[in-house]
Amino acid sequence: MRKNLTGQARYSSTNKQISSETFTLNPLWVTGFSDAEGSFNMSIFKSKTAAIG
Amino acid sequence: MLNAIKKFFSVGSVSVAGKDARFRVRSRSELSVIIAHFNEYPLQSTKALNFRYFCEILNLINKKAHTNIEGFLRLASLINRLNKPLSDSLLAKLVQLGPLPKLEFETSYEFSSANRLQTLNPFWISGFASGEGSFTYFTKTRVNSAGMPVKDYSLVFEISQRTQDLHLLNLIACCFKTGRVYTETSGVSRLRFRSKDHIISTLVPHFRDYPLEGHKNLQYLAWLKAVTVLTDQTKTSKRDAELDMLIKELSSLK
Repeated sequence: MRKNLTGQARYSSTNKQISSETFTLNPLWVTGFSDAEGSFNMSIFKSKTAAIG
Repeated sequence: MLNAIKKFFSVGSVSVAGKDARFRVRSRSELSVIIAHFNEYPLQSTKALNFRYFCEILNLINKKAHTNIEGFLRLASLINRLNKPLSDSLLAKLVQLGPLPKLEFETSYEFSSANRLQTLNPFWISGFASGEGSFTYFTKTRVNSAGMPVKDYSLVFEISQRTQDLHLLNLIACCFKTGRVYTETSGVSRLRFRSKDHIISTLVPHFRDYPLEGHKNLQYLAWLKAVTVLTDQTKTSKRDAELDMLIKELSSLK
């Protein structure tokens, strides 16, 4: 995490596309974001090909 | 930003449908990376409980438990506890195979207040705020001494959660040493920062050192411009016109 940057430096006003190449995320940040937005899903469906499993 | 998360984990895929984008990890081998992450950096919300159900389900699948009826029903019972319950039509079909076992998961340990974290990491707070934070404003129209209607703005940063995760809002308020927590009867709680002075002295240094990411950061920067104008300048019609413009910019980012 580039700590000494202000947020402004990372985004240009004309290009709002955020490049994933320019920064790395802190693992605790990722957990915080997941607490906010993450979800764990599991679904049951009937397979057309397998008899079991 | 989801691409950055994908890069962070080195697994999963990002898909875009309309205005929504989704980062998803499906294969069992790739999910092990995600599980290892959350074991090392645990979730703090009640989502941690869903995570434990999820791990338990994956464990059973890895042990091939789902290839016999008893194991399959056990799995279905766990999946029924994950997020939303299974659909009635699916449950009706499952019951034809046999009754769903009643599974109680010992959950008390991690969620008793004694075992909860008493402080939150600032990176976690910024990650959480990048998801659930809301940079917004209130308006109030009053009549001034000349009898003319005047619009006053108040800028607000708010984080809402279901009340089951109220403790997180209280911990965030503790970290910032400011902010008020409101609990509504609808089951939602809100942590709200609205005093201009507190915003500048507490939130700004925090988000400088532990930045928000993605679209939320753009909203924050637009919101901060409005906060700065509101705080630095005395109320004049010129300032209010500028504030109006900045508020419009902020609204367009929603």
